This record gives sequence, structure tokens and C-alpha cells, in this order.
Amino acid sequence: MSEFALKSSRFRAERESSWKELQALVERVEKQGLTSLSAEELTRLPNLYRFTLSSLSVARGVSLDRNLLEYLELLSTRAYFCIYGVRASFGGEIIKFLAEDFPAAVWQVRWRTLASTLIFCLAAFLAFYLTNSNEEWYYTFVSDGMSSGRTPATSTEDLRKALYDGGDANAGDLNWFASYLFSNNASVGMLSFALGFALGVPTVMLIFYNGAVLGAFVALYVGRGLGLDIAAWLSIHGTTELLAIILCGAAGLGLAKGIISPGRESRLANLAREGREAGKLVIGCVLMLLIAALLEAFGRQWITDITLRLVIGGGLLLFWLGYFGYLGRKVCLER
Amino acid sequence: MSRTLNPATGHQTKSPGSGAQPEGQKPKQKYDEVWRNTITPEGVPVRMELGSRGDRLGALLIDLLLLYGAPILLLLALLFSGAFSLLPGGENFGATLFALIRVLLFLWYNFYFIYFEIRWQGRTPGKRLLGLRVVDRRGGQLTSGAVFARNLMRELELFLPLSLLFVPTGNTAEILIALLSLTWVGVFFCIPFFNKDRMRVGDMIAGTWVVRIPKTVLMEDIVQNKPAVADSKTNRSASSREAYSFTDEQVDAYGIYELQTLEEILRKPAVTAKTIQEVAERIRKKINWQTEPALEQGINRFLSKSSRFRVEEDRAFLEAYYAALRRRLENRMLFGQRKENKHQKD
Repeated sequence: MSEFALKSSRFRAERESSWKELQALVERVEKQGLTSLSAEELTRLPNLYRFTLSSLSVARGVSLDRNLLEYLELLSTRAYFCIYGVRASFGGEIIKFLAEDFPAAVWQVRWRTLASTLIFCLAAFLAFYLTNSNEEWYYTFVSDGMSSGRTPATSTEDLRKALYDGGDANAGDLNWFASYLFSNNASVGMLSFALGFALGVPTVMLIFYNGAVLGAFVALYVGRGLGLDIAAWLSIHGTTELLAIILCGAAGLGLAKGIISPGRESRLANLAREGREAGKLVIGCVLMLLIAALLEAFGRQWITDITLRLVIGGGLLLFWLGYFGYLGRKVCLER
Repeated sequence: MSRTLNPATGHQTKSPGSGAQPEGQKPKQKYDEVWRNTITPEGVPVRMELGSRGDRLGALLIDLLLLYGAPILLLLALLFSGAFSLLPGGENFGATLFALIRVLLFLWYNFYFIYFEIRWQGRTPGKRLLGLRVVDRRGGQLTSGAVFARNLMRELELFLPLSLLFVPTGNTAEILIALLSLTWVGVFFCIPFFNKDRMRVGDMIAGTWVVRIPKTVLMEDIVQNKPAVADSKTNRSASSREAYSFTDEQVDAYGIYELQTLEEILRKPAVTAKTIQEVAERIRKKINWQTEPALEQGINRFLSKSSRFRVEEDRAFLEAYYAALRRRLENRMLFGQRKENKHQKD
């Protein structure tokens, strides 16, 4: 009965098949990914999407069928994600991250990194000075678990041995050591980022504490005339590891800045912007920590020559500086 | 458009005096609670519904189950299948394997959410099951930076409190410290309950929120013509529907809100005969419906036989009234008059 056909019903009958077609495509993309579509379907998808979107606009003006409106709205939203939410591939994303996003993110927060480094160094010098003047301070900075028997009470000979033994350690033990170091350090790094949300106070404390431990440690060895030895022992992995920890701290400080001084945007919008950049930073740092852990477990145990240790550590430092300072700056300028 | 108006109308019903509201000044409070607008690059606003906190907790629990359950299951499967006996012996190899497993576990635990949210565009298995999705607050593409940021925060929001729960407590001082740290992290855990966008800290950091995008089916148009070749029963109800005709006053009795409530009743599969009857009865009363004598006879004839027919009759009446009401309201909408509900004066 044509008398019964409403305008909105006719509107629907004319377009329904296209909506159904889009729905089928969207469902396939959601389940199997965009690659499951044929070339023809791929060209069809944006057309159908725009068609459905315009149907939605019209439907809002002519139809009062709630089910129809909801259907069109959700279908448009899902298609919207299929079309605008797509990225190339997980692998491609990782390459882009390593070549562009990560160094750029570091370059952007260079001043914050400097601040974080200063806090770290300040703590290290303070601890160094105190421990150097009175070895009792060592116990304040370094907990029992961390020192693992390397205390002022240890003889110089044993301390020296601790720096060089392990040359005969087998790979199995070292693997275990590396994986332990990695998961431990990475957790610390992530935490120092996340703690930035509490206005950065815990982050600063964490950086400070790490610096203090280092300072006290170095002071203990320097006091025994093992200064160069400890420098070489630390540098082989330390340049990478400490840089990563400092960068995580800088990321945490970024969050804190987003909350405390939002600038022109709203606090929430600014926090979101800072957070996204900082998130990239921390993920990159996790990768750095993985490298550091491998160096610490294998390189440090197998390579006992001071010069070689220093060369590797220094070389890595130069690499990171070039990576962030040159590549990062270049990407930032290009943007 | 449609559902937004329900709460608003409900609000208006309480104060009938405010029925004649100027156009475009819709009450906003309830609307803002669940619905968020995004404007597509084509310039069409699309609404998204925020995921409820319960749904999100459910999705999280599913994900956690998978996160912790999958490695255990895998390990058990390996143990029972005897795959281990096939491995070459030696201390060295065992330790290497163990270290490898440790790194893999670390990656699995820390990158589970990140991997899926990048790969499946903002959905983890749990979210996918419950129809949830992480989207950018400004409507843009969900970047990997945002996914990293929101999931790194989990460390603080979820895993730290969880690990604190299992800290061994000996003396009072330790218990006190554990309690204090629990309260501190408890604050983070509760943040989604204290902002209207239901964001957790990770969402704030990343500039995202979690929306619900359920699968919907396009149901048949109630008003559409039924095919004439259908069985006798459909024919009967179709023909009886034609017999209904309503006057202008009768179709002016209700507005859009009532129309869509009626639609819901007609569409719901599990609606009882009693409800249909009651609704039909109420509408008949409201619009002063006089049953036509011929139909009256027809009903009486069948009444003794089956009450099922009466329900069908009621349903046919409701469908006919729905069609008439929708035609009326849609026609008026085309002329720019939206009658939101029955209280709105013309």
C-alpha cells in the first residue's frame, strides 16, 4: 500500500542495501584487518562510508525511527575508525618510532633532561662527598640488598675482585642475570615516569636516590684507589642505563609540568599532550635498558680490560648523543 | 538525536509548566553524562557513548585473566605434553631457557595491552568482547604515543597496588606503611569515579577515553509494507491495520518521546502480551478510540476461541497507531516543528 509508505520508509528502502554492504565490509575489517579486502572493495569502502554518513545527516532530519538512527550512527562510527584509525603495520610503526619519534621526543625535552641530569649529579656529588669524608654514610645511601657484600668493611682486594671476577662465568648464569637486571631496571624506569603524575615529587626523589647510590658507591672505590677501575666498570653499561633512567625521570617531570603549569591550553589538554610525548620517551627507554642489561651481564663479565670497557662505554655515550642530538634535532626541525 | 531526548523529557515531565521551551535549548545535564560528540573530517557530528565503569572493569578482568592465565596454561601444556624431555640437556641450556622465558614474560606482561591496542585500534581482547574501544578525545587517530602513555600508567594504577597487596607484613610499622601506600595508590584507582568522563589517570595522560561501540542490527521497518504473499495470519493483521484510521487530534496526542517508547515496545522480542494489552488500552483511552462495530463483532467472534488473537489485534492497533503517529510527527518535522513529547504545546 503506497499510502502507507512514509517518506522515511522510502528513504530507507532506497539506501538500505548500501548500508548493509558497508556493514559487511566493516565487520570484515574489524575481524581480519584491512588487508582482507580486495582492491575493488578498498575503493568501495570510503565511498560507502561517505554515503552512509550523508544518510545519517538526512535521517536525522526526516526519520524518527530510533533503531534506524542508532544503527546509522554506530555504523558510521565503526566505518570512521576503519578509515581514519588505520596505521600501516605494527612493524612499520616500530621502525618509524626508532627512526623518528623516539629521538625527536628526547630532543624536545632536552632542557628537562638536563634538569633531571642535574638532580642526579647533585645527589651523586653529595653522596660522594659525604661518603668520602666519612665511610659510615655509605650505609645510609646503599641498602644491604643492593651492596651485596660490597661495604666499607670489605677489604680492598675483595672490592677489586668484585669488579673483575666473572670472566669465567658461563653464559647460562649471565642470561639469568641480564634478564633480572632488565626487568628490574625497566620497572624502575616506568615507575619513575608514572610517579610524575603526583606532581613529580616521587620522580625527583627516585632520581635523587639513584644518584646518591651511585655517588656513595664510587666514593667507596675511590677511597681505596680504585677510581679508574670503577669508572670503567660502570661506564660499559652505565652510560646507557643511567641515561635511560634520567630520561624516564625527565618524562615524569614532563607530566608534572603538564599539571602544574599548563600554559595556554587547559590543564587536561596539556597533560594529554605532554603525556603522549612522555609515553614515547619511556618506551624508548625500556629498549635502552634492554641494551644496558645485555651489556651489563655479558659485556661487563667477559670484558675485563679497563681501556676496552671505557671505549665501549664512551662509544655508546657518543652514539646516544648523536642519536638524540643530531637525529632527534633533525626530525624536530623537519616537523 | 533520539535517545538524548529521553532523559531530558523525563526531566520535563516533572515540571509540565516548562513544556513550551524555545527550540535549541535542550536540557543538557544528563546528555553530557554519557554521550560525547566527535566531528568527522566530513563535518558530520557522530555521537559516542562512554563505556560504563562496570564494563571497563569487566574488560580489565578478562584481560587480566588472559594476561596471567595464558602463560600458566602454556606452561602446563608444555609440561604435560612432555615437550621438555625433547630438549637437549645440560645446565647451561636450562639456565638460558629460563632467562629467555623471563624476558618473554616481562614483554608479555608489559606489552600485552600496548600490542593489542595498537594492533586492533584501541581494543584489547577484553574490550573487544564487551564492545569497548579506546579513542582519541579530540576525534583524531589513536597514536602509538597515546597507547604507550595510557598503558605505562597501569604500572602505577594497577600493578603497584596489586603487588602491595601481597607484601609480607610482620610488625605494626610494616602494616602501617603497607596501609598508607595502599591508600595512596587507592586514590589513583578511584579516579575514574570522580570525573564525568570516566577517565583513569592513563586516559588523562594520553588524551583518550573509552567508548562503547556495540554491534547493532538494523531491524525491519515497522511501518514498511508487509508482503502480500505472507501467510494468512499476517494478511489478517495487515488488512486489519488498514481498517484503522485516526483523526488529527488523535495523532496529535503524543510526541517523539512517546513514539520512540512505543517503537521500543513493538521491537522488543520478549515483551509480554500483558504489556501490549496495557499499552494499547492506555492509548485507546488517551485518544478516545471508539472501536468500530464491525471490528467489535470480529473480536467477539474470536474472543471465545483464543486470547492470542486479541493480543494480535492489540499489536496491530499499536502498529497502526505507530505508523500514523510517525507519519504525523515526521511531516511536522519536515516543516521544522519538532514535538518532543506529549506535554509540548503546539
